[in-house]
Amino acid sequence: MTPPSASPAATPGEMGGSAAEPRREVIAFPKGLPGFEGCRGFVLLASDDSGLQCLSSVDGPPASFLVVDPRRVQVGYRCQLNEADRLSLEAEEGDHLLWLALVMIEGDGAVSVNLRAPVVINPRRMIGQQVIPYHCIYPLRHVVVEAAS
Amino acid sequence: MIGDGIEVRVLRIGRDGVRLGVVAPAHVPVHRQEVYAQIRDANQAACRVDLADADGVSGALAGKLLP
Repeated sequence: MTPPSASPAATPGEMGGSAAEPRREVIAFPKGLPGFEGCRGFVLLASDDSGLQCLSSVDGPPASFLVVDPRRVQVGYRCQLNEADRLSLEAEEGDHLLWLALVMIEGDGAVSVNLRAPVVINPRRMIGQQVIPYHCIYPLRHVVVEAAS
Repeated sequence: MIGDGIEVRVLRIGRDGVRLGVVAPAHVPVHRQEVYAQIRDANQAACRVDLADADGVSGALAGKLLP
C-alpha cells in the first residue's frame, strides 16, 4: 500500500470553552507497541511544521515517540502490509493509511529512524499498530544525522 | 499442530541442524522472536519520557528531511 503524506492530527479547539485544550483524537493501539504492550491509546501531535510529530500514549505507562514520514528520510519508501496486519488495522481497499517511522536519538548525538518496523494508522477506524512487513528491505536503524565527531 | 490452523513443519534435516517452517492462516502474524525483540529494544531506545531534549533534535533532523 502506498503511504500517504503525514498530516498534523491535532483538531481545532472547541468554541467557547474557557480552558479549551485542543481536542486530540485518541488512536486505538489494541496491541500497544513492542515493549509497550500496555499502551493502548495514543495521540499524534505536531508542534510545528518541521515534519516531525510526536506519538504519545494516553493510557498505560507514559511513553512518547518522535515520528516522521518514512518517505522523507528514504526516497521511494514503500512496504507491503502483511495480511494479518491489514486485518487487524481493519484496512479496506481504498483506505489511505498513515505510515510513521520512529526516531531514535542516540547517545553520541546521531539520529536514526526505524524503517524496518513502521507504525501504521488507519485514520478511518482510528486504529494503529507497529508492523513488521515480511519482505521489508529497509534497516532498523537508518542514520539521518551522523554522530557529532 | 500447535493451535487452530497453526502447523510447524520440518522442512529439511541436515548435518548442521533442522530447518523448521510455520504454516498459519493469513490472519495470524508469524515473526521470529529475535525480530520482535529487536523491535522492542529499538522502541525502548526511541522512547522519550522527557521531550524537552528533543528540540535540538527536531532542528537537526528537520534540516535533513526530503521534501
